[in-house]
Order: sequence, then C-alpha cells, then structure tokens
Amino acid sequence: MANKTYYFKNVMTSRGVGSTYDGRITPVFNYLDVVTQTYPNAVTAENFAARLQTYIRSVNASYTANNVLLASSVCSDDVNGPIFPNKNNLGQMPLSLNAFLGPFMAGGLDGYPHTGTTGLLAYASHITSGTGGALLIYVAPHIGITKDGQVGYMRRRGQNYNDLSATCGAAAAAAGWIRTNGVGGPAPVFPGTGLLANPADYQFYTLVKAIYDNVGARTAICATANFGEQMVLATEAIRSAAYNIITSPVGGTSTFKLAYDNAFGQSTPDVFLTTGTFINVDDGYKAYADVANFLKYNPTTGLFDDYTTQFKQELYPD
Amino acid sequence: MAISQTSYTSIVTAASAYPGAILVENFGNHCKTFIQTLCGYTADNVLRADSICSDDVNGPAYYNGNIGQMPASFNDFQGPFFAGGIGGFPFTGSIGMFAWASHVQYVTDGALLLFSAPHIGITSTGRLGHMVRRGQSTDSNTCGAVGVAVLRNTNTALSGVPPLSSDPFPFAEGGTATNAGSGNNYQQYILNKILWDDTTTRRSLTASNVTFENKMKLATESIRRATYTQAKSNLSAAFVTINPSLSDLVKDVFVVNGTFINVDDGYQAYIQINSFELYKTKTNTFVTYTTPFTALF
Repeated sequence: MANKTYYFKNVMTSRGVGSTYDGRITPVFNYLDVVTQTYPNAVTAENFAARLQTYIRSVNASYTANNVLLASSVCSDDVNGPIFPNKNNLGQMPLSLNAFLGPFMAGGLDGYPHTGTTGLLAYASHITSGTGGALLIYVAPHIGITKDGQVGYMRRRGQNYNDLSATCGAAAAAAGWIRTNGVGGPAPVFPGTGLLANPADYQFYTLVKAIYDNVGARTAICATANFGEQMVLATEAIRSAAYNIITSPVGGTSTFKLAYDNAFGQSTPDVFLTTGTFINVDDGYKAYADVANFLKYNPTTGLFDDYTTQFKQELYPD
Repeated sequence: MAISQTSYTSIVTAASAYPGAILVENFGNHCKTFIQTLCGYTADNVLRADSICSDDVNGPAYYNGNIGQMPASFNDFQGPFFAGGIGGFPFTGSIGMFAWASHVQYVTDGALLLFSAPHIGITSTGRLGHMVRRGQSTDSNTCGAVGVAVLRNTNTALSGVPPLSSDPFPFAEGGTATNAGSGNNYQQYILNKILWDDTTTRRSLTASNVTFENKMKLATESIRRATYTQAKSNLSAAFVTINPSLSDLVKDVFVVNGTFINVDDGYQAYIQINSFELYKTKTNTFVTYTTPFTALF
C-alpha cells in the first residue's frame, strides 16, 4: 500500500491530516487499498450512485435522476445521512445518490426493509407516473472500516480517536447474541430476555433472527473470535435476508410482487433493485459501496431479472 | 389552479385543520435559535434523530429541487438518524436510541435533538389526509399507512376483532394460501393496533357521520400521541436500562413532537407543535419548554 503512487485520492476532506504536495509524485494513503482487503470489488459510493444514474438512463432516456424515485433501505445510522453541498454534515450518502427523488426510507436498523409490504406499496404508488418515471430500490446494510483496517469499526466525528465505534452497532449486538447462545442455542424469541426484552425492539429481533436462520452464517460467526470476520458475516447474512424477503416468492408472491401488483394493476412501470454493502469510513473520508447485484423487475414473471454484469461493466473503483 | 403560499396557510390553519400550524422552515430555524439560546449548542454540534414517516415527501430539502418537504434549516443539524418508519412511529426502538445517543459529539460537548412527528397531507383545496404529489394529478392519501390503519379499524368484517399480524393484506400480511406473501408487514400491524387500543378514537372512527378526511385527522392525532409516548420511553430505556454510562457522554437531549403537514408538490410544508422538552440524561427527567418555544412562532 505504501509504495503505490496514488496521490490526493480520498484524502481527508474537512478534518485532520491532509497531504502536502511538494511537486513530486508522493505515495499518499488511499482508503480504497484498505477497503479492498475486505471487499475486493468495492467502489466509491459516489461512483456507484453515478453508475446507477447512467445505467438507468441508458434503459430509457426519460429516466433522468429527477424522474426516478428512490427507496433507500439502508441503516438508520446518522452516518448514512446525506452529504449536503456547503454543509459539513457527518452523513456519508453520496451526492450522486441524492440526485434521485426522495428517498423513501424503507429501512431501519442495519438496512433491513423493516417498513414491509405497506412501505413498498406506498413507495411504489408515489411514482412520477405523469412524467413516465421509474423506481429504484437500494438495499444495503452497512459496515465500518477504519483507515487502519479495523473491520466493523469507524471513527465518528467529535469522538476520541482511539474510541472506535462498532458499525453497524445493531449488527454487532446481534452477532453477540448469536455467539452468546452458541451455534446450537435456542432460536430468538420476541419479546424475550436481555436486548430482546423490550417490546419496542422488534427490529433488533428481526436482525438476530436473520442471522440465526442462516445456519452457515451462524456457524461461522460462532467459529471465529475475530470481530471483523464476525461483522462481515453478520452484515452479509442481513443483506441476504433483506434481498430474499423482497424478491423471493413465498406462498405465490414476494413482498415486492404484492406491493407492485397492488400499486399498479395493469400498468407496468420499470423498477430497478440493487443490493450490496455500504461501507462507512472514518469521519472526513468518503464512503464505499460493495455491489452484490443489480436487477430489474419483470412484471410478467413477478421476479427480478439479473443485470449485474452489465451494470458493473462501467463501474469504476475510484 | 395554483394558490399562493399565503392562501395555503389559511387553509392549513383553519379551525377544522391545524390552527396552530407554522411553516416548517420557520420551525427548523426556531429549533436552532431556541436550543442555542437555552443551552448554547450550535446546530452543527447537535445530532438529530427523526421519528417521522418513511414517505419520500419527508425527504430532505436538497439543492436540486427534491420532492422532500423537510426544511432546509434542518440540514444545519448533524445526521439525521432515522428513528421512524411508516406513520412516523419510533420503530427503531430503544436499541436505535442507544445507537444514536452513542454517536454524540462528546469531545465538543454536543447534544441530541429527537424530533417525532407523524404526518398528514392537506391539499390546496383543503382536503385533509391527502396531497398531490409530483408527477401525479390525483389526490394521494397521506399518510397512506395511517389510511390503511383507519380502514382496518372500520372494516365491517374485521372491526369487531383486535388486529393481528396475520390479518389479510393490506392490513398486515396474512391472506389466502396463494397470496400469503412473506409475512413482512409488522409495522402496519402496529399502526392498526395503536388505533385499536385507543378506544376513544376507535369509537369516533366507527361513527357513521365522520368523513374519511376527518378520520385521517383523528387517526393521525392518535398515532402522534402514541409516538410521543413511545419515543420518550425508547429514549429513557437507552439511558436507564441499556447503558446508564451513556449519560457521561451527553447530558442534554431536546425532544420535540408534533404533526408534520405535507402539502401539494411545489409548496412549503407546515407543522403543528405539541411539545418541546429537555431530557436531562443524568436524572432521567423531562423538563417542559413548550410555552417559551411556541412563543417564538
């Protein structure tokens, strides 16, 4: 990493150390090198959303970002708030994503689509139908990676440098619950005991259950003492569960098919879905995204068709 | 035909609607001023959480002419942490509050602001419970999830029995064997249950002479009260039950509650404020500042 000739790549934007250019090509720290050790295909979140814009518009020229309504099933965490021009907000959602309309906040703790079928139905019915608009759903739990490569953590604004913040905290607590109970332990009960005792915490229960129901993830989380590995496994289990609850038919329909059919009847507007992992970074840097898939809804089959390969063709890391 | 924002104000503040409503932009500015005057916190040192509805019309005001009707003045606060869900109920629970509170900027002695508000639309023709959205020409039931909860509690076949998570879609996600879905509609069930448990409101909803528009107002108010109570309960649980040492990081949490009033696309939204309080984390007490805060309006 230290010998690469990158410079001025994702240097701190507002706080802390920067880089001093002395006329030579100077090896400068690049956050991407750290992130790709865990997520080899990660790209800057800014590039990811810019690619969303170009791809969707290539499908139909009328699908400019201001004619596409975004549903964002990301974690509630304030570091997933928007980047505002001329504001020094701590949110890391890229400007290129903010170009879309909305968003409808379909998520909750760790980006699971907690707002359910009613949420997606309401969102779909808000489409800019009069101007031939489309829908875009972004589903992504999140994980922090510090600039020195500590996975599952980030450094937050206004907090001590050595006080690393577990991110996503809810995923960390859910993985902790799984480990405490062991791979062969009882299924989570709601309401139950400990962090599952409060009837207000159904979202947390949903995350615990998502991991518990994924036997492979549960086994692996219990098998490793490495916190970063636990967090990567938990995050992927939650992403996978989120993807399945939206797209996979159960009893003849999926959450999304039920919403779509009730929202549109005979009309068949285009719906794009992308899932992945949002990668938060230490405050002052720009976030990254790992793209798991990019799909388009097929109203005939009620399933999502996969366009991931085409989408990634012009998706650049930084 | 378009009306002026002033005329819209007259419609929103009518006695039959929300007489105490003000523009949300002014509300956001008042929050900044009041918090700084009361305790000295600048907005960029205050981390906000919004327990509001997921609806895209509650998105942020962006430079690019977004459909979101949240005030631009809110963008001076940090965040936000999204503590809500459909109907604005604080669905992220006590664990959400704990996570949010632990993100405070304690090095600079920062504070927290918890904003909770369900929403209701009012069209430029004065129709309660509706708004006209961008790219659409017909009235859109707003909040749609509250509308579904009203229908669940006034449904002839179901109104005599308490809501269940297995109620047929759209009330929850049960239904027939061929239309069972994936069982993912818990939040709607909770909204249905809030109205059911509020027997006074439920009686009013099922009265024969109440219009759907007025039912929307009654239901929104019921959900606002439940949101107010639950948001404070979640906050208190984070500091008292989950981790009392949180109060070493942050001493002040401003807690404001009301009804967010969405308007037809292109106009500025309104809000009616019910309470402004200061939660003192060390003593787990809420101090009311509603009167001095609303005196700014």
